[in-house]
Amino acid sequence: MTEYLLEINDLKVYYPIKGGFFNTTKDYVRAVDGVTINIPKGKTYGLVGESGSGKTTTGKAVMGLNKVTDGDIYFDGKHLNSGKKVDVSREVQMIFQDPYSSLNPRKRVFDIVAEPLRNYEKLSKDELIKEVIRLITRVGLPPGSLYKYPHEFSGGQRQRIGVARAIALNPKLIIADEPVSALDVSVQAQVLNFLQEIQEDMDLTMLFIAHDLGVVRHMCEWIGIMYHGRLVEEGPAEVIFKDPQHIYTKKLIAAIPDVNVDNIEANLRKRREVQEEFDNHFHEYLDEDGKPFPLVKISENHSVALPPTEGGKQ
Amino acid sequence: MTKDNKNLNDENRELNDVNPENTGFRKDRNEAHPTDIDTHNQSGTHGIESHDTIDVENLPRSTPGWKVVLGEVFADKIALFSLIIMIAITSYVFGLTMFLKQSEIVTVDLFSINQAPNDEFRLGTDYGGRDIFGQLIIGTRNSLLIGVLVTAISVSFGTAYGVISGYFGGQIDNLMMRIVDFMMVLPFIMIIVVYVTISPDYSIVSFSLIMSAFLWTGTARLIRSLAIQEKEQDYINASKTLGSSNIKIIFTQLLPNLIGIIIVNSTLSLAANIGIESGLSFIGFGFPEDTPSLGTLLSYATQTQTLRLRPWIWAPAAILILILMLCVRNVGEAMRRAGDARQRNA
Amino acid sequence: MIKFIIRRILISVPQIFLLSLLIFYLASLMPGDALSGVLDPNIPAEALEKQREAMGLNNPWYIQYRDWVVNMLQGDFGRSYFQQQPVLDVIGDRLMNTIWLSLFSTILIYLIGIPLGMLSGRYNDSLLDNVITGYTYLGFATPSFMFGLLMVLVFGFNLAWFPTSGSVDPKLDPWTIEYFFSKVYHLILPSLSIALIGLVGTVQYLRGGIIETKQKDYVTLARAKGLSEGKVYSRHIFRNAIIPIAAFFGYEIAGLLGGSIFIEMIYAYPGMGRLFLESISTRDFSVANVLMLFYGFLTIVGTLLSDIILSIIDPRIRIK
Repeated sequence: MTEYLLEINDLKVYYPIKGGFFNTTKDYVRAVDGVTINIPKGKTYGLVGESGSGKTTTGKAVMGLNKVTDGDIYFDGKHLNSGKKVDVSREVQMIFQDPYSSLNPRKRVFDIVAEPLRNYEKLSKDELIKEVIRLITRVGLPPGSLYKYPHEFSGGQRQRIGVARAIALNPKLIIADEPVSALDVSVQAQVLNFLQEIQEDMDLTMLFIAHDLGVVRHMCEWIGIMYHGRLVEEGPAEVIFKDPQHIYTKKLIAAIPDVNVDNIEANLRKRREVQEEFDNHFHEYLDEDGKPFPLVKISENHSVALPPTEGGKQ
Repeated sequence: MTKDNKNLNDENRELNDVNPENTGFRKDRNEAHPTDIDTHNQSGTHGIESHDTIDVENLPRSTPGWKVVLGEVFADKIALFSLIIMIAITSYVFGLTMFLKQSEIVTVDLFSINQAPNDEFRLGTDYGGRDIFGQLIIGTRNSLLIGVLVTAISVSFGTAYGVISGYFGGQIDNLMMRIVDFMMVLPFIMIIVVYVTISPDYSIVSFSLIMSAFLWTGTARLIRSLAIQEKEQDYINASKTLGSSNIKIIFTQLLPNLIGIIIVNSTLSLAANIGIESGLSFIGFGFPEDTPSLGTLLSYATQTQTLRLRPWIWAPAAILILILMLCVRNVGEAMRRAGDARQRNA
Repeated sequence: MIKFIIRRILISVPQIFLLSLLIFYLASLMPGDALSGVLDPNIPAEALEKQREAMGLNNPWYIQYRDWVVNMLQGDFGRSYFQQQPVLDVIGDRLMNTIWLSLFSTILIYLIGIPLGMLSGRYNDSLLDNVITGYTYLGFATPSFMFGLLMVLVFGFNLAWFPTSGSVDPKLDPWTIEYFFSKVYHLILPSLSIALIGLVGTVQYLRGGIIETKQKDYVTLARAKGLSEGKVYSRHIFRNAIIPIAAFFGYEIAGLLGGSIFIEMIYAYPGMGRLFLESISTRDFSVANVLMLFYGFLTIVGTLLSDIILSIIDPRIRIK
């Protein structure tokens, strides 16, 4: 247990639905409904799911941007949501999904990247400039970008600025919230490669959130798949890809495009099969609330949310 | 989602842009757009130490926001002309009042009542024999002064109120907005009239304060709605995760993004406030007669005889109000366009 | 829906309460009390004090406030110090006159403003649109009282087409056709003065709305289906652009109430605004207080109506 840098235990994030005469809370949207994730130090954990599955909410809860309804989050042994304010900004950072809204349009690159340094490091002006230049060259931007505004950059470049800001304090953990989904496909691979590089260089632990298994495949050692606020399958990347057990995972894997032209026919057939199975049997994998069942361990490190009656392998 | 909204807004802006002249600075902004460096800089690790040779002082800098706004005002001929007129009127009025004695001008002179413009009185006299020209100069100064004062107080209070309400949200926001709703249903002109009547000594400052007490609500509502929009943006979230305090976020992240709107809102409020002050003086509950304002000059026109037969008393004040209102508005509109165009590039 | 309306009405209740509290506070700041107008100065101070005690004027403020509210609920709004009669009698048909003026002005605003806005929006950037836009541009810069002065000077005095004071010809008997026409005749110039300035907001809003709607996909679709241009406008564009304007009806009236004070003064129109100014200058504060209360109350009702109409038309605003 102690090896894990980030531990999320049975996390629940509910949003109240207000209504009725006195605007009282009538019900909750269960955005995250009992998620447990443990990430070992130096590893990348890919959290995958469709939009609305609660993956971003999970990430933001770790950052303290969402109120946690129930459950515990530990970082490096420190309890993050105990109610006491624990400042882990130095060690936990986030890369945001939308490189357009995550950079303040009124701030120069220098001010954006310098913000965390100003908050935590006492640097002289010269040192600050040097450090910012080091960071932006580190992420592959020319020093001439220093006094420019975000709108003068392309989406990929903006995301690099976001990365420079996130690594400024030498964090241990980075939460990357769909860092490439807002980018053109042509730029995605570049940014992904570059993220991987940084991760290896700085020995970062990463929670990589994505809606696309294909993207995650390149990045992550460990994968968790979310549906409606719960995990449906979790395990090492190669196991998940080779031997998916949950029907939802199978569908996601079948949907990954294959570049090999010779396989088009085979892929299409397979995809149809999976789709058919999915349409016929998916409801069996959900409880009466439309939620996945709790995870069941089927091997040492592979857990699947299988229907309780069937128990082990189907 | 946000991008869709942006596109939509852009379309609207295109349509609302009546003035085709505001393209000037946008062009050179586009020229400054760098070529995409993603394509030739993939390794990302090189040159870590190269900053020793970088001449930091001479790195390219983008045009700061205020220059863009000024540039927009200068590019718009009507706005530029309006700005020049405003500056001219203001400096003329403030320069001249240094040589005019208010007490002298407002002293009743029974030998020269209701004179039409002549050599001695350039714009004639009123029923008390007081020089209209002198009253006009001092009146303009007083009206401008109170307009600026009320605008400054009400816009700064309204901005603070709106930002707090919008940024923190929740129950605080709810309560604060209920108060604004209540302020907005108050018959504020009547309350000011009552205040003026029962307050034993009221001055320019206390009069400005009581006016501002009712005029901040519009700004507060506007700023609140914008603050709510802005706070949903991830750059605010990013700031939180980077360890900035709420106060710091409000001042360094949020307000810089609202400053354009605040300036525009100020100019438009300035025009409105000058109008309200002159309206109150017009019905006799702004400044007393011995403190002339544009409104007190107009209030002479409530007497039928003066209205019909002695236009020299009220017409110059009316024309001046109109000119001031138009000028302030033109400048404000030009600045609003500057704000829009900048967002277009963002 | 019903829930929203009831909740919205419930929000008005504390507003009315706070309004009354504020007016009560203002009244307590004003010189004189209910006795200043009743008694002649020869009565000795002791007797006055006794009378005060008897009337409860020495009670703590919350008791006085409660009595004040209870009295008003029973229709007793106090006495005018100056005119020596109940405040309600003094206000009398002044209230109706002001409501007529506001209503008439609002109708004129829509009657003139909506066609102007439609023309301006449909034929935008044409000569006609430029003229209308120029008019709204000037209208925004002109305070309504200045425009009122100009109107009364030109059409009231110089051309003498319309009366320049009063609300009706005093020689006529009420409840006759002539009386009604005389009322309307007296209303035309003041309400035109209000409307011609007041409509610029409506025109601009409508113009912007139409130009925006023009570009919408469903309008393009309607055109593509082969609908004539006139029908595209009448069925799709105007309908959508006009809805919010119609819903602002209550706000419009509420806003006009406050501004009518200037116009009533210029046209010597016997409405609440002019009565208010008169009662302030004769220090007849009991009347002034009730008038403020009425104005505030009418404004609350106006915004309430607007919110309800809006919520019926546009369900989005109900999410509050």
